[in-house]
Parts: sequence; structure tokens; C-alpha cells
Amino acid sequence: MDGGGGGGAEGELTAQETALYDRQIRVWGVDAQKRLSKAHVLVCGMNGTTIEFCKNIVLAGVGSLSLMDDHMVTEDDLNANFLIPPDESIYGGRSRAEVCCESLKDFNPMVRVSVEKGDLSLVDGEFLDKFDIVVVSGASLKTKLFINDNCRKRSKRIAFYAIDCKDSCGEIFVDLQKHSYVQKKPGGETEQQELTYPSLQEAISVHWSTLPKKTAKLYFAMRVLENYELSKGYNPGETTLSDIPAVLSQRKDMCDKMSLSESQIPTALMERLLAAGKKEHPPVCAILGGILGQEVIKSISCKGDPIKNFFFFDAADGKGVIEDIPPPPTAN
Amino acid sequence: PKDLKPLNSRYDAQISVFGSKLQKKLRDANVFVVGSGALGCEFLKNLALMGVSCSRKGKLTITDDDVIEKSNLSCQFLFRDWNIGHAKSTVAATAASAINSCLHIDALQNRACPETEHVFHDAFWEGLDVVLNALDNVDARMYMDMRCLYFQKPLLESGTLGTKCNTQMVIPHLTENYGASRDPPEKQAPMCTVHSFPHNIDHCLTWACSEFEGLLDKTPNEVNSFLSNPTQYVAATKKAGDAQARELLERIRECLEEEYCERFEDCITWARLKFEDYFSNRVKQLTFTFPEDAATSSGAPFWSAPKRFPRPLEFSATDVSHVQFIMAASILRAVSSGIDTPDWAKSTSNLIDAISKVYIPEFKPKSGVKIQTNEKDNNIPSASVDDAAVIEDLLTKLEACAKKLPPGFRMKPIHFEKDDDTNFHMDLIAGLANMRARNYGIQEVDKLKAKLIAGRIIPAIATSTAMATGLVCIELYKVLAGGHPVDDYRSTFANLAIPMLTRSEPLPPTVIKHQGMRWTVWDRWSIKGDITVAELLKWLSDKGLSAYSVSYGTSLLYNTMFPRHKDRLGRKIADVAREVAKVDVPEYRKHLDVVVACEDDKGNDIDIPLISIYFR
Repeated sequence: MDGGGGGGAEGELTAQETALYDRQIRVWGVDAQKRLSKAHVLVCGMNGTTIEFCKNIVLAGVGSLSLMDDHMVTEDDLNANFLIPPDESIYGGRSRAEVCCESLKDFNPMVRVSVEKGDLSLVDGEFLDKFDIVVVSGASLKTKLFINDNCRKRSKRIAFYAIDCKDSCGEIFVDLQKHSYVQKKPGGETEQQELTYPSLQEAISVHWSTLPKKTAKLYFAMRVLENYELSKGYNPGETTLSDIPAVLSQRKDMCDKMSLSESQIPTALMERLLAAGKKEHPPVCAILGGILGQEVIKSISCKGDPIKNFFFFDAADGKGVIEDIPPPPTAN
Repeated sequence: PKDLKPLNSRYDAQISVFGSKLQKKLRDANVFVVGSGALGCEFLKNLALMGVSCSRKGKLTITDDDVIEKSNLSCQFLFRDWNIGHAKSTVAATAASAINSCLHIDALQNRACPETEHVFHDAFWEGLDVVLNALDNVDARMYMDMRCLYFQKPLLESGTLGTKCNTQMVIPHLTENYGASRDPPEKQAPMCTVHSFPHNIDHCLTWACSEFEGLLDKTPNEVNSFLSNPTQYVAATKKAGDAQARELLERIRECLEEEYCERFEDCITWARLKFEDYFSNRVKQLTFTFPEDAATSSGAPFWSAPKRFPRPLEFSATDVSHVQFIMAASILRAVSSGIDTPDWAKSTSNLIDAISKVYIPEFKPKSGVKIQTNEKDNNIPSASVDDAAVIEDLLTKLEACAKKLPPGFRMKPIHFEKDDDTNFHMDLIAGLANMRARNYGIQEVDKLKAKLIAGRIIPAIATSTAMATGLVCIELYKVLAGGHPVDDYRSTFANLAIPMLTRSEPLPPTVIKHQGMRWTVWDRWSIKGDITVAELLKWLSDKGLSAYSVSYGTSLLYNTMFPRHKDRLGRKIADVAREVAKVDVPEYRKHLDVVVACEDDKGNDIDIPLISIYFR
């Protein structure tokens, strides 16, 4: 049942771990569980989506989870973040990371959950070395690129994920750099596979005219939005519907430059993303958090095909699609 | 639009997209969540965040008859260490209320099944807006499907298997019901593999389950049906007159003759001899018929992969697993024979003493024994002259046995129950499977793993469970908003390991057309008046339907096959129902529902809707 692949699985599980994780060990094997218990995860930006993710990996039994978000909890955080008790006397005057950390600790006493204070856009590479997995949410394009770049510069492999939920839409970006894993064939045999990921910079600078026609519209829409925010110096989610004329002209510029028909990025979709701001829908958070949770488990355990390299979900059309951007060169 | 204006509430994300009218519908919804395990916990969290059932008018009922155990904590995230041993539904409800204190929730500990219909009664069902299944087994899902179909309530179904998850939306009149298209039955290993050539622990467990069922459930049941009415049983067997009937009789005879147990010591003897038979004699016979160097007709080695060459076990009182097998087997044999297990039998040393006294006859393999080696040549033996003679002989012996039994003797069949740790069922199954695994040099498993495999349990994990409930809750917005056409809804199949997420429109229900009329499984016909059976038949024949059978629940009210039912034609259906079913329709209910089997004018069977007769 257990596959090999890479190091990091030595050492036995304790009796307590075996008892608690009994069920899931039946799904992914003892070897994967051992790797999980040695993995260190950093999550930056606490919201409904990342909190779903945190719940899933704390239950799964990662070694440690560090939370980074100095923003003070406000009433707005209650809408999708089920870890913040709706009681101002509890959350008042405390950071999101602090309040979430306290609740998450209860989920699984065997996982070390802690708070990392500071500004994500200023962290150094050595800080990142403490982690195997970095998940970023609600950060500006500039910060995402900065962190992704830093992850790639370290001597150890640090897997990078960016996840955002807007309205009932969601985007997950994955950069595992070089990832080798055990793939299960339909017949039950296993095979060693290796994937090479592009960086975030590479994944977003691809010329749109080279992308297949059926590429998810959300891919383009999210690029327009983050470039608009960047150009205006807005923090993510600070936009409102009143930005629509400016955003549509940003769309036109980008489409002209990259030879894409503007109709590939529907105005209605842009409006939804703008109006959403930071608002998330709880069911969409559960879906995205579930998917990201399993992705991180796969990446740590080196078992199962990971997403390469974007996942888009839109509850409006009910679709969830994986895109590989830039498209890998095909054999033919 | 004004409806979409944020109200500065925690639900603004929803309000700005769906509007405050829908938010009010969510708040006032009457929702039934069935099950409070992994799915149930995730649902409660989502519903609390969405503000479902968060007004005085709204109500969320959650029910589960299970209590929390340690291994639940890794995916049922509303539970903590200190909740172990408490009712799942109550703890989950309290935790959900902490997420949203406005949640109006009622936690019950009743399993949803026919026995609890006094709790989940008509009035309860009629008040519901939607049902969310959070179940872990098909039987309960089928039951909920039947109830939702009857009360015409939307059923949002979901399930997970490890990293896989599926969701199915069942919307009255728009989609087919859950039971309409069942999953294909699980793939099973060919019988010859299970019987003689296992090569993994699953095969051993399949065999163990089937032996358990044969020894402790099926045979005792057959014994009882023979003893309850020997004449009828004999007549039926003679009429069948085939090899299967013969084998069945042979089982009953064995059970009542040489295997008959009067005292607990007899059960130990039985268990010890079973050990010898299963793990030594049978293996000796198999390897006598097919020696290690045997070749197939094409000259290839017979024992080549995946076949594994078995070796017999020699019973050893110092081998704990051998002794535990005897303990579990003798205790269960005692239970099925109505014998109390004496306290001394639970001590290993006493048991070993008793085992040493059992006489083990020497085994000599027989020539000419046929063993099925290929799944294709499954030549089910057909009836032969021989069978008739053997059956005759067996029946004489059986009648003699029956005379020697204490008056009124019946066996107590045991139904396999994997979840009771004190009943020895899993001990016997794991023992059977592991001893067999040892025969074939297959890795043995512990009791817990045996339970998961035998119960075909693939555990729930947090990630796929969270996703499944998220997908269902997106559909819940549509259900509660109302008025959505079928192509707005999405059912899902996903596998996070691959990863894959496929969403599709639910299938519409099958439409039955007859003489310009059309109906589906969701339709009901109702007839006003306290009518007679004949009047019902007439009402149907006016529609070109010829009814030949009328039933009420499990009771048959009328069937053209039975001449004595003719007397019922002129009687009121309600009276016949009262007499035959021996239950009164509750005072508050104005109607009774009958199922009528019909043929159309060409003599083809045609499914018609349930008929409600408003007799009051």
C-alpha cells in the first residue's frame, strides 16, 4: 500500500497517532502519515477558505502549522470563518492569526499550531526555510510573486500555493518546482512520475494568444483584476463595483496587447469579482479548502497526481477545471 | 436592486449575490440532516455559516443514534477528546450553535428507519423544506429516498469513499429519485479464487464472511424452517430434487446429528474440528489433488502466480491465535445452539485443557475429488437420479434426528454485526481469515483492519467530506430559492487523488405514458370516498388499466389469483386494510395509500402511481 519516493518517512508513528489517524491511514498508508507528521506548513492570510484548509490538514495530522495574519478581527471575518466565535469579547483587539490559532489547537493536540507575526511582503528566505509548504491567500500580486520567487531560491524544496475565493469563484495556483511522486495506475500497479512546474511569474506572463480557446475565463479575469489592483496600489479585495469602468479599460489594454477577444472575459464575471471584494461564500470555501487540503497531502506524501498548475471553480456554472499554464509542449 | 443591498450582516456575501429574500428563506428553512458523522459535522458548520434555520420559524433537525469514538476525531471536526462516548448529534449541535448562536437546532438520537416513524411522523415530514443525507450506508439512503419520494421533499444526497466523493440532487418531479439508478454492484473476486486459490487478504476475508454466514446464520435458519414444519420442508425439498437441495439437507443433518451441541464442551469439540477441517484437512485434500508440481492441461505449472501453494496448519495450544479462534468459534456455536457460555470458558488455560480432550480423527485425502479451478467452468451440478435417492435417505435420517431433539428445540441464527466489539463476531471472522492467510502465506491483518475490509468500509477523510458538503450546499441555495429548472442543478462525481471534478445535470425521472396520460415516480393519484375494492378496480379500468393486485404496506388486500379474495370485492378498502394489516390508520390521517399492480390493454405490466384513498 505504501509507496516510496524521496526521503522523510523514517521513524515510527506513536501509539497515540496510530489510534487517532487509524481511519485515514487506511486511505493513504502509514508511510504517508509519517511524512505528514513531519511536515511544516505556513498559511498567510486567514479567511474562510484558508481556515477550511487549516482544519483539513490539522485533522490529517501535519507536524506543525504556522499562521500569519496580523489584521485585527472584525465583524466581517465572521461571514465565512467558523473558527472565530461570534463574540466580540473574545475576538476584540486580537489578530486573526491569534484567534484562529487558539481554535485550531483544539482540533488536534498532536499538531503544533502557532502564530508568526510580521508582514509577508517583508519576510526573508531564511524564514521560509522553516517550512515545507507555504500557502498564501488574499495577498497582492507583488507579494505572491515575491514569496514564490523566494521559495524557488531556497536550497530545499518549498511547495507554494496561492488560493483566493471571490464571491462564488475560486482560484488555486500550485508551484511544486520539481515534484516526483508515486502514481497509481488503473490496474493497481504504481509508477514513479516527475513533474516540473513553472513559477508564478511564468504562469501569468504567458501570451494569451498562445492559450487554447477553452481556457477558463477565470484565468484571464483574475489576471485583469490583480493587474488593476497593482496599478492602483489597492490591497486585494479593496475594489468595488464603482471600479468597473477602469477595470474594463484595463481588460481592453491587456486583451489588445495579447490578442485575445474581450468577450473571453465577460463583463458580468468582472463585475462579480469586483463586487465580491473580500466576501466569500461558505460552501465555496469548503470546496476550495477541501481540494487544497488534499493537494497539500498529496504533495507531502508524494502519492497521487497533483494539480498542475491552476484550479478554477465557479459555482455559477458549476464547473471546476484544471489548467496547465503555460501549456506544456506536446509530443505532436 | 434593493434586494441585493448589503445589510451589514454576517450574511452580506450571500445577500449581495442572492438577495435578502433568499437569505430570509434560508433563515426560515425547516431542514432535516440525517446523520452526524463526518458529513453531518461539515454540513452543520456550512449551514450555521450560511444562516440556515437561524430564525424562530426555521428549524434544523439532526439525528444520529451513534456515539463519538476516538477514531472519529480525525475527520468529524466538531468533536473533541472530551466528547468521546457522548451522542454525536447533541455534541455537533452544540458546536454548530457556537459558530452561529441564532441556529435553531434540535438534536435527536433516532436512527431514521421504519421503527422510528412515530418520531419522524407525517406532521414532521410535511413541515420539512429539504432533507440532507449525511449517511454511510446504502440501506439508510434507500429508506430516506423512499420517505422523501412519499412526502415529495427534495433530497440532497452525498457520499465519500476515501478521496472520492459524489453528490446527487433529488428534486421532486424534476429529477429521478436516488434509488432509480443504483451504482453497479461492487466487483467481487471469482468464487474459485475465494474458495481454493486466495492470493490476498481480501479473498481470505470474503471467504471468512461467507463461512461465518453459512455456519451461524444460514444453516441455523434452515434447521429452524425444517423443524417448524417438517412436512412442508420435505415436500419442498423433494419437489426441488436437485443438488442444492441435497447439499442443504446434508448441512441440516450434520448440524443436528454429529455436530449437535448439548453442552459447551460440545461446542469446543465442534470448533476444534472446524479448525482441523478448514486449515488442515481441506488444504491436504487440495494439495493431494493438485500437488506442488502439478501441471495444467497445457503443461504449465498449476501453482503459478497469482495462485499460491497452501500448507496445512497444525493446531498448537501455545499459539494464541489458534486458541482465540477456538474460543470465538465455540462461544458463537454455543450462542447459536442456545447454550450459555460458562465463565471458565473465557480463561485460556481452561479452554486449552478442554481442547486437548478433543479426539481428532486422522485425515486421508480422497482421490477423484473435483475442485473448481476456473471461474468459467462453473458447472452447477444439475439434478440426477442419484440426488433423488440421496435426498430420500437424508430425509429419513433427518426425521430420526428430529425425534431425539428436546421438544420445541430451535437454533438461534446469528446475524453478522461488525460494530459490537464484545460479540466475538469480528474475532471469528478475523480468526478465519488469518488462519487461512497463514495457510497460503498471505500477510495477516488485525481485527480493526479486518473489520474495515469485511465491512467494505473505506474511511471518510476531511478533505473530500468538506468538498462534498460544499457542493451540496451550493445546490441548497437553489432548492430553497425554489423555481429552478432541472438544468440549473448539478450532481457531482469527484476524485481528489487524480484529481478530477465532474459535474452534471441530474437525470429527469422516467415518464410513463399510457393512453394520453403521463406520470412519473413522483406522481400520486387520489380518490375521494370510502370506496370498495371493486370500485377501485372500476376506476382503474376506466383508464384502460386492468388491476390484478392491491396491497397496503406489506399486506395483500386483493389478488385475482386467490379465489377467496373475490369476497373482498364488495367490501370497503379501508375495512379490508384494517382487517388484513391489523392496524388502524391513525385518526389524524384522512387517507390510506395502496399500491396497485396493473396491466395495460396489451397485457403488459405497467407501473402506476401510488393511489391515495381519502376514505374519511
